[in-house]
Amino acid sequence: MSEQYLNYGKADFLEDASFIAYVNGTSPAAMAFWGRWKAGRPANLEEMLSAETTLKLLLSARRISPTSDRAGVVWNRILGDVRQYDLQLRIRRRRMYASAAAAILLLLVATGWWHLRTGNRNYQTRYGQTMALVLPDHSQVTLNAGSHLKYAKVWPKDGPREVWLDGEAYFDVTHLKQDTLPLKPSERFIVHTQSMDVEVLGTTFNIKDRRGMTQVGLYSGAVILRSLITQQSMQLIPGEVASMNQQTGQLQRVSEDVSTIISWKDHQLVMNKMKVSDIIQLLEDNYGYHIQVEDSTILNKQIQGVIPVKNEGNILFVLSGILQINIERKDSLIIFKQRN
Amino acid sequence: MYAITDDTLLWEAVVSGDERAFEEVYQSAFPTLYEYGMRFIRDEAFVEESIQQLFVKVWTNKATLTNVRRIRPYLLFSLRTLIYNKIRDAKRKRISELDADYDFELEFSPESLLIRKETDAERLRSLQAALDQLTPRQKEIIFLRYYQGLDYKDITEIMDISLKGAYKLTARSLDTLRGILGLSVVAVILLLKTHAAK
Repeated sequence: MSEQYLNYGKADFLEDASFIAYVNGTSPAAMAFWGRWKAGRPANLEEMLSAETTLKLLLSARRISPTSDRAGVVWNRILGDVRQYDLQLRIRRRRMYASAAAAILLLLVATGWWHLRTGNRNYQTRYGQTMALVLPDHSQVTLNAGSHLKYAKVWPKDGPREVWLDGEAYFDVTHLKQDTLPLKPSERFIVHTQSMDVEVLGTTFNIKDRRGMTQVGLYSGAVILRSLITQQSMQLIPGEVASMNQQTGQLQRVSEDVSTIISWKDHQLVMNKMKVSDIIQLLEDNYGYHIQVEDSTILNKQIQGVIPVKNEGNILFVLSGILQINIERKDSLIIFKQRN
Repeated sequence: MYAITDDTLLWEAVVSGDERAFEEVYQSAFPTLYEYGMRFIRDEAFVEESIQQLFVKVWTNKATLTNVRRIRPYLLFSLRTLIYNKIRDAKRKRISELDADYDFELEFSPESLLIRKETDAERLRSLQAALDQLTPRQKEIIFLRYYQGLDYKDITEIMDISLKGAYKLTARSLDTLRGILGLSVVAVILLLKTHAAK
């Protein structure tokens, strides 16, 4: 290590980090080393001493040092600023989360709005409940108990009007056709059930889709029935009732009275020589009862008359009177018992 | 200069938000920064405020300061820039070159030296006369080089001058410096080139 210094001139010493540290007095190791080096009286000692004098001159400027308290004073100010910054950062982050939450909420609202525009409307009646609905084209629907009706929230301008029914409903469809031109798609009105489509032209009619049977009764106007199983079609005229077995898909006219069929709409049960077994089915469909009969001979009895059905207790009371039976009720279970 | 690893670890701790590491950096740098600032502008309140702003800025921007390899030169450079900007803003005018309008106080006092021979005393007097002719920039280089023990690469970075600029600056002042320091033109150029090649 010392070898290289033997060739040093003044300029070389002035660029040497170890030499600078020695003159500076910042490194005890360097001071010890250069002390020994000088004591060895090397040939270029004069160069070294000259460099030392120059460097001492360069280092002779009075140093500027802070008084002992300054570092602490300034540090406390820095700490104050830094702590405040960290606090504000936390608040800003919290605000950022809040605005992110707001953005997500906005997204949800937008999605909800979109859903509102594009989704379906669903109506479900509970047992014993009927519901009057007005469709987007102002057609009126009365939904019987325990039934479900679905249709698009926004109806297409140039497509048919469509609803999906599971259960029973009475339709009074607005007649959109105002001319004699061929039918436009937007003038069509179609009720879909699981196994039958009913296409309508300004009409009042009843559809009942229960217990494997689909029954349509036309009150006014015209409907075309189309079995989705056999593709068979049938046009009804007012007053006609048709039914279809959902197993066979066969459509046939039946001798039922339309006004009897739609009497539920006026909260009446019109019984035109109605068998007790049919009445029991009706009560089960519309009120969700489970009915047990002790004496099965009453099932074939026929009843003539009108029962107001606004209050379900009414029906049971009237039936018990007509049939001379006792009726026991445990929640939805109803037992027709013989009188002793 | 030899504690690169220590610097890296300490700085990593600061970047990750370690307040104790931050204070350690501050405490060890404060006297140097104080002196450096005071040599630019002899106004303690101004210099202390600058140091305060520097460290607050380091803390608030710590996430972006991951590439600082050596702490001392980085802090000196940052303080210099900060003071320069503050002076410029205070004067409400654009100064394209800092050295056109700044001072760097470095007054040599050879009388404090132990004089070995009378010829030395004579030589010192002429040296001081020459030293008094140094520009603020040259004084700043001397301060950073000999008082702070920084190498030329650090100095060019702190003073924001390219090696080419440093060479030019050196060449311009070499006539003065050579006479005083005994530095040869070749030595300085070689030195600068060595650093440039790194």
